[in-house]
Amino acid sequence: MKNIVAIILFSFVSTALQGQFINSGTIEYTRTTNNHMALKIEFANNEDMRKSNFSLEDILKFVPKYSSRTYLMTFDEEKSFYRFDKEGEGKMNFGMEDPASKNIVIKNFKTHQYQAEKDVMNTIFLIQEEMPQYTWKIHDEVREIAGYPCRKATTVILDSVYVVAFYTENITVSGGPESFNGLPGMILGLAVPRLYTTWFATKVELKGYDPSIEKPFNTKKSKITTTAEMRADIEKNLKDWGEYGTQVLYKISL
Amino acid sequence: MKQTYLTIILVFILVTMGKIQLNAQNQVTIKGKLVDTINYTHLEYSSISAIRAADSILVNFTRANDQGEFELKVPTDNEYILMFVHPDMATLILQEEIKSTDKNLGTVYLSSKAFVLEELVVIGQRAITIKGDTTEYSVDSFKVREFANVDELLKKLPGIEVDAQGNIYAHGEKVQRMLVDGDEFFSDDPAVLAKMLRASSVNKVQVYDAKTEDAQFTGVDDGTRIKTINLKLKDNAKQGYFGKVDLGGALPGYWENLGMFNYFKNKRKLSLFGVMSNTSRVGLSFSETQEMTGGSMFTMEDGMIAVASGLDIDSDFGGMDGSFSGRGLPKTVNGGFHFGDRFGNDQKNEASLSYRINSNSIISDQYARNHYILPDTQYVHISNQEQTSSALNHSLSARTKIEFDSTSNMSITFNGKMSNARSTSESYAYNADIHDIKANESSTFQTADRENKQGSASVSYRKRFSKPGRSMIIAANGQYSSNHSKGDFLSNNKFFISGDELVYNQIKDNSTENITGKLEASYTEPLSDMLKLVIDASAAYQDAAQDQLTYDRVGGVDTLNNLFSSSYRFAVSTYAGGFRINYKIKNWTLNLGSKMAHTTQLHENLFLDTIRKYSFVNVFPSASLNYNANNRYISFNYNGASIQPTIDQLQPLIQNTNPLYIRIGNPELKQQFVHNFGATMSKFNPLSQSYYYVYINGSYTSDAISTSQSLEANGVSIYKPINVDYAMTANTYLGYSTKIPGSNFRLGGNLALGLSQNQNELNNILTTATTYNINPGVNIDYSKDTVMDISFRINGGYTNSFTDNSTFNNDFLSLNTRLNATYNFSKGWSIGTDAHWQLREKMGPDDPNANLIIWNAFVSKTFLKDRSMIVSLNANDILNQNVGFSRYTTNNLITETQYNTIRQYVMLKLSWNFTHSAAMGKGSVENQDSDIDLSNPDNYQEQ
Repeated sequence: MKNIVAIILFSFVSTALQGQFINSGTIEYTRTTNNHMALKIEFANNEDMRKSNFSLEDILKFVPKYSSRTYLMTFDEEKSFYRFDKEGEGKMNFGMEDPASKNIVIKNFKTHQYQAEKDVMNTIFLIQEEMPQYTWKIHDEVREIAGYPCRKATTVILDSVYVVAFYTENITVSGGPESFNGLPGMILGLAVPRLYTTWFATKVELKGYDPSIEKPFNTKKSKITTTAEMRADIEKNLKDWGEYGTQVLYKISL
Repeated sequence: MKQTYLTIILVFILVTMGKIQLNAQNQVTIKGKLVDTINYTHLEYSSISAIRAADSILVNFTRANDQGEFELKVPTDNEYILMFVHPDMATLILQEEIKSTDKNLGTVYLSSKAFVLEELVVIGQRAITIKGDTTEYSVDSFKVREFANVDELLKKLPGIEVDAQGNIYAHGEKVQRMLVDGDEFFSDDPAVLAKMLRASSVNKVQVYDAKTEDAQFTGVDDGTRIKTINLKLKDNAKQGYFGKVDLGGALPGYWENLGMFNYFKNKRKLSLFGVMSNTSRVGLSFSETQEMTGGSMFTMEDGMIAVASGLDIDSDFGGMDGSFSGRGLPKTVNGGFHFGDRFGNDQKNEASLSYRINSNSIISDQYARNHYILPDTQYVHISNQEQTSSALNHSLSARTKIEFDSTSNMSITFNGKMSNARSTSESYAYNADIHDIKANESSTFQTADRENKQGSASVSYRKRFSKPGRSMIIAANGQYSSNHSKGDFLSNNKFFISGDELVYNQIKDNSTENITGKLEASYTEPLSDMLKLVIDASAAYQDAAQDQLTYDRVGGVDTLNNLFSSSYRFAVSTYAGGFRINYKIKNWTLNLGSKMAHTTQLHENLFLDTIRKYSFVNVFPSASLNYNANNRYISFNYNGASIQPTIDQLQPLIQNTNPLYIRIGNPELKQQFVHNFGATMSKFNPLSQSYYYVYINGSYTSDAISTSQSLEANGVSIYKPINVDYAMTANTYLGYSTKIPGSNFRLGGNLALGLSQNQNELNNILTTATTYNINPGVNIDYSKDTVMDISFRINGGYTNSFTDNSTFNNDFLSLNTRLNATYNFSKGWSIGTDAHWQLREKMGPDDPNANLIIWNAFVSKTFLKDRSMIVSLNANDILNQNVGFSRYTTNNLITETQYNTIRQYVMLKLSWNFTHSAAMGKGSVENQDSDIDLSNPDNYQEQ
């Protein structure tokens, strides 16, 4: 092969690994957040919280350590539909919904259109724009998620928020949870360390695109906007919210 | 469609990264067809990704069509990693340089996973990467036993060898320095460190040739390279703590105890260690102690003069200078700590403090026979020497690096060293003709107490300007050292030819004081994208005084003896300036430079009250050309430098410490000029796991400093340094190592060739001596997972040396064979053996030690749940053949030495490796490559 240098790379050696190419199906993702870590940071940065009658230990006592939620995504080569499915363990009863936690995301891989409905503190935004582009850095690490060998890739959003994705080439669709896309395969694992949150595929069903997953948007009245405009809008209102505000900004930008 | 998509990505990269200038217009197509190696079927839908080699950024990807064909557009003039993935096939990675034309890869074969797994199961990802002159090994690709030390790992890396004494050789050259994460750990002695650190905490092993500190500092390449190994620790090893305790006792009367502890918390690092041993296995060579106890303070760069120190007892033994050559019986106690931390904004500033204490002693007994071949005669010098020496050394160093902002930083270093040494030696020697008829004889008793103090400080400031590539460095450093040694010298000499007798009852009192200061500035200006200019200037000053005083002791009264004394002072000032251009095109880098130095030396002989002043201009040219791409490295380099004689060579002093071997200084010596040439080439082929490394280098010295030796009528030899026309050396090394496909064998071969020629004066006749040697070697390694390891190596040698005006021709063959095997049973039992067979052609009828086998073996058992405790029984030199014998030849001299050394013993040893990782890893942006366990959100700690 002349001047070609070749390396054989070893992925996970497991007989359970799926060996066929998949171009449609449904994936269930479980999103897990470490509430305690998030609260500790918030407590450290939030003076009001420190001045309140509750100590950090008190707060942690009635906040479950982890909260999980499941999301469903059905996809084929043309489009993907991703939405919130159900609450899992450790539901937090704070009255207010965790911002952007019940999103509906529709991606069209042919037209590169991206639509997302996000509920941010009771304001519903409908985003319509070109699919976001990420600069991915590919790593050597390979791990198995839901029976598929997944390669690690990383990117940075909002200049400083580090995102780790694990994608599998076995699925030929370049999609993933939330707005993430643009890798040579499907993202089955996602981690945003800054938010102490991970998404991991817990189930992959190979029964083609499942229209029953689709759900209409919650409201038809919401204003059509873009991610940047939504962020600018929220940012105005979150000026004095400290760490919590920062986390909200990150959450809605995923 | 893909094209517009790609353009969007590119625009995005352009906008977000800012720095990378990619022109979306300049795109080319990479195309090819994927085929299965066995079935020759098309591999439709396989994914093909183009990843930029420089930063691993995904540039574009596609899927093969139903014919297995693919087309991928990428920007031109870049190096890409092309990754081909198919679920049933082993992932294939090609590294391709894409120029300005389309690239057709033709048919690309993928191997079935099942097929490859059988054959190449131990291959990790990129096992070896060649980055410039650095060869980087990915440790996970080389399996070692659990709790194996680094030395065991190094043995498995192609191109690296570890000998029976623990010395490490990379590409045929001895590794002189070992660093951990780029820092000195607590000992930069490779043999010690390799035995202390666990292989499992190491992520990568990097091998490179470092320039000397002076060369780095002055920017003048002296051609000297220090083979260096840098161990990069895994991130999770840098959390929590790990350490090791070894306790060993042996019959008869040997011990070997070691303790080491490392603690990491965030960026804070604390290391403690202690070694107590009287075997040669651990902690006996402390390279920096050589500096500590004097020796050369400042190299001869820019006309500086090396200051030698103190009393010199003629001996091959170590101890005085802290080094151990394997001769004699050593004892050592070493200890120290290293503390490192980061502080300030974003923890960008670094600070570290380390302290070491080292106490050692050596008792030696040596018999030597030197056979001199002079043009007109031959004679032998026989000596018998018993020596005890001990030394206590302290060293303290502190370092800090402060980042003011992203464009400027400053580093400050302090070093302090102190040592006390004492030695006593008793010797008997005589000179005789080859029929053993004595011409003279000498009995000598000598003592010395030595004290050395040394301190140095340096400050450097680096600044990058807003124009990319423009930068500046300003540095200042100062050093001070003082040496004092005092001792008795008693000697009784008889000269049989004349019937004379000569008795010395003297006191030797030597002291040296040296102060050096240097200021340097360097400025780099980018003239274009490819061309850079570096300008530098420096000023240095040195002031040194050296007194070597000899007193005759007569009836309790000491009188100065002028004949054997000198008092010398010299001052040197140097102003130097130079430039270097750096031209980079594609994968080639060209460096051309020259430096000029104006030096003024003032020599003051305080005894004769004479002052001599020398002024000269030196030129230091240098050139290098490097190529690096595709895991291949090629480099050519040249540099020239003038080298000053040392003060010991210049000083008009008669050294009578060996009365049958008188040395006198030569104030008339001129500087020598040395030209160094070299070429290196290395390449790794990841598919076949084969690796080769070739170098050739040579030097030519004009006005070389050599010696004049003359044999007086009474059998006394007189040595004097003189300038001769030239000296030259040429060496080449070729090494190749490859894995035999489908087996657990690795096969390697190497060949070293050496040639040297130098001149010296023997009884006033200029003689040219030539030595050449040929050393071929073969090695075979077999390893079966972590169960069995066998390595067999055989090295042959042929040496021939001759002179132009003597018929004497000295040549011999030698053969070294080494077999090393370990086998690990279940339940933690292991056995191992190491046999070293040395065979050398008989050189004379009474040549006793041409054939010996040194055989060591061990049996060990691991305990505890994690197998972290090991109890072993080690037998050293089972056949008791390590008699302590060496023989070497130079020009006109054949030396045979017999000495006492560590021999047969059986040691029981307990080792415990402990480790504890606090919250492992971090998902921070900095540690993007860390192996964090992402399934556990506990691991997300923000900085």
